Amino acid sequence: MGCFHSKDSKQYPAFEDPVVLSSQTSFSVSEVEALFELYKSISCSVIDDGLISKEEFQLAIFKNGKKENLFANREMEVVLLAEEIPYTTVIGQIFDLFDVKRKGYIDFGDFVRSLSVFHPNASQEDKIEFSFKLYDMDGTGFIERHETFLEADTNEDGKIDKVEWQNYVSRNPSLLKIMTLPYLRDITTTFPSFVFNSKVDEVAT
Amino acid sequence: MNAFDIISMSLGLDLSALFERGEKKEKRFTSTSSYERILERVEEAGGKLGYNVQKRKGAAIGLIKGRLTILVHVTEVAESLFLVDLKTGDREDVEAEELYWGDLKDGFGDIVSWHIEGT
Repeated sequence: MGCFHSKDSKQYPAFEDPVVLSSQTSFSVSEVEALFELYKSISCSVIDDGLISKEEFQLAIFKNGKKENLFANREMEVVLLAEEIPYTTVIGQIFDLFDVKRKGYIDFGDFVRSLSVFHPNASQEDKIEFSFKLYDMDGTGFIERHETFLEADTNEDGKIDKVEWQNYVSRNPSLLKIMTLPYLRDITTTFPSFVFNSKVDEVAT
Repeated sequence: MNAFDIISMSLGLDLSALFERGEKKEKRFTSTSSYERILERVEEAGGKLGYNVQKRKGAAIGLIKGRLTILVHVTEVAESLFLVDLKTGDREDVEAEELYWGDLKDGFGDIVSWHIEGT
């Protein structure tokens, strides 16, 4: 899929050593290499600069037309509008969560480290932290405006802080279900072409 | 269903979409032209190439020539950035597909800003 990759991995501005990234995340070295295949195709789709812009991120999400299915359900759209959350804000939120340092683009390190949180082996703490930031749409450091979660607001100050969130999630572990993507375990079979670019001899995990 | 559910679903869908390997033969390109201009040019190119042009609801145009049906769908993915998708109907003929795409792409001309290959 994707563009013609004329560049050698090392020439990518965002390239980080897969061995280092693997040591920092829940991914094996092969898995990081497989993720690089995906990263390359997303990052070249609008501008071939080896970095993922917000546009390229949105394009990668839209490319299979699934967004049409989401908005085929009017109820979902109505709820988002009622909460004054435009759909583009949700995608923007996800982009911002990956772009940890708010550089305006996602580099390969950001990509791998963010996806690592969704790995089945990632820590609960990381998943709770990420989910808290996800729902903190305004970036105020608190989850606000959402009546449904007010039972989490134990000190009744109208907002949910990180400690309240941790307690709430511990009592309702199903809330963290979205923070795990089981198919991340199969990444090397989804992107097998990484073997052609693999620099590492590794026993399959 | 509340906003949390939707944000959660959206996250799940968005991330799984990132990982999907589209098996389908689709052609798509991005355009920075205006929405109106894109539709106009698609209809024009289709007409010139002898397709029966049918406007569909929701930013879609059908191009029909004999047994070949192409659905052209325009989505706004970012401000001033549109994704144009071309999907063929059931009777997929790889050779015909390559032919149709080449001619259409020429006909579309400068509304095509970046061509993304399908797998």
